Amino acid sequence: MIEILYLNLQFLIFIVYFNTYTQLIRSIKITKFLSIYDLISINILIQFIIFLIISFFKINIELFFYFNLIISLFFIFKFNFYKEYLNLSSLIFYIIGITIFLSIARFNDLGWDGLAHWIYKVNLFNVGGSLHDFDSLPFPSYPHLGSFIWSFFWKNSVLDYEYIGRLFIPFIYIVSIFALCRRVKNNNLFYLLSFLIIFFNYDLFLFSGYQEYICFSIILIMSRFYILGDVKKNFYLIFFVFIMGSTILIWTKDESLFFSIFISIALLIKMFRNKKFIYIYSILFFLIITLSYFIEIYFKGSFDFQSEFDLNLVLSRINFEYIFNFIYKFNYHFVVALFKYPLSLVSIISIYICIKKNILDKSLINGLIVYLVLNYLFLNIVYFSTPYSLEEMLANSTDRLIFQISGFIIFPLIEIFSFYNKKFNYF
Amino acid sequence: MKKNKKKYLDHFLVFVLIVFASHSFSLFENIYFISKNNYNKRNIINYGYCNKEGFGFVYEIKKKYFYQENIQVINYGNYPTISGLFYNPNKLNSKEKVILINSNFQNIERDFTNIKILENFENKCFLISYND
Repeated sequence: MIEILYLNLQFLIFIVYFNTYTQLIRSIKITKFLSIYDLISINILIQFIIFLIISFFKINIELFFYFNLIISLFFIFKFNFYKEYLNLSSLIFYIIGITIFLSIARFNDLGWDGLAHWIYKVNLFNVGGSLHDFDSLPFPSYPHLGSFIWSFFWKNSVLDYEYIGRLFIPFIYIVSIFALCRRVKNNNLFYLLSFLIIFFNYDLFLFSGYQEYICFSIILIMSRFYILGDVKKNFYLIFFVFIMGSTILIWTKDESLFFSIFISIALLIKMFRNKKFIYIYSILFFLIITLSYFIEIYFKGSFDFQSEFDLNLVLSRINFEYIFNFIYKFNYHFVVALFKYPLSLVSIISIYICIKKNILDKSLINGLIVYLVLNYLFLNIVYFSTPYSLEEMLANSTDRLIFQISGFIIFPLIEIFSFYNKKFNYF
Repeated sequence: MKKNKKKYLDHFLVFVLIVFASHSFSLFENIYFISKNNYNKRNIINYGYCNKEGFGFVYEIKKKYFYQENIQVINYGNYPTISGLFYNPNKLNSKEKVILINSNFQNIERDFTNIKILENFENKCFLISYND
């Protein structure tokens, strides 16, 4: 029973922890229209960037945790914004959160990737290790941000249970969906949509130490700010959210580096009229990738991916038989994966409806289509050049890759509901 | 009056949603299960004692034999090794003793020579030690 009570407390700790900068964000005029879930989302991005920075140094993370918590509590009570949580939407947010927490607590075992490599990194950070010590671990080239945050919350929990460290993943998953769905003004529809999206994209297996939900949630948060209109007014908001989101993605998973590039291209297409934005964003994004490269070299001695790109292997595969076989197998697994996470399929249909009914701005649609095409090509290249068994790779990873990518394409579905809700006052 | 009716309807909808969420995510079943089985017991249920990843066997062997060392676990089943869960980078890796999960005597004879079996659980999980 103590464990169940503690899980409730842990949920509250996340709310407090990811509200540290709410008052600061609120004090900026342009953020007045943001919902409480948007504010928590921005807090999540800021906190993750802070996690990334402190992961490079040997800092006493317990002290850091309590310091942050106290500051946050001070602001929450000083400015009385705890009152914003005393409503029905927060009750639903809390109940969905605690039900997922309890499911993870019950099925607390780690999946294959969790046991094979992520947990080693988590345990390393748990005993105060640094990135310099990655050499002795399996798969040292894998990014470490997710493992660091996992270790951070594990180490700072009263109950010393491993799974508590990874509860931040369902928390950011729910927050990101609530933030996006809050675009719908009608409360009942907002509750229903949030629940349905969480329900249809819920996969307990991916909560067993995998990092896919982190990428999905960060991409979803970025998509929520991608749809913001009035580019001039929201210039800095969009800019900082995308820069922070891209940085987090780069340090979470290998393939997320490419997702962040494709999302950035989609953003630049949306902002094509704002030359200043395009220049500043492109330069800073390029700097972030370069800096990440040098940091990896400094700590790990090399900048590697899961498998090397072998040009000779690719060239040897360029023949009619292999290509035909590849196209068939890849597309088969691609379609199967779309059905496994049906929300991605619904989202693709939503994009079509948005185009037909002129619901979304053309620049948003163009960016979205380019994002989808680039991702499709990227997946083709990844699987075509894989040195491992194609069948095995497709069966084990296509669904997870599509799940992550789908984070950016859910918003047209929300926009359709928001549009009809406003236009005809349905629901 | 109409406003009140709408408010009740809204609350009813939220109530239905909460009931549906609790049911679909097995909220009450999970509460019961967690209250009945502590963390360690759940680890054994989920990872298995001497099957799957073999948490129970490894946990007991670790308590008995490995105080200052990291354990080496080889899983002969189609499961990842659980040694990462017990890994401590500040400790040395054990070179003398190896835990075998989902194994049998044929595997031991085939893969190891000059060893001593220190622990054997149902001819499936073993702790072996190199003689020299």
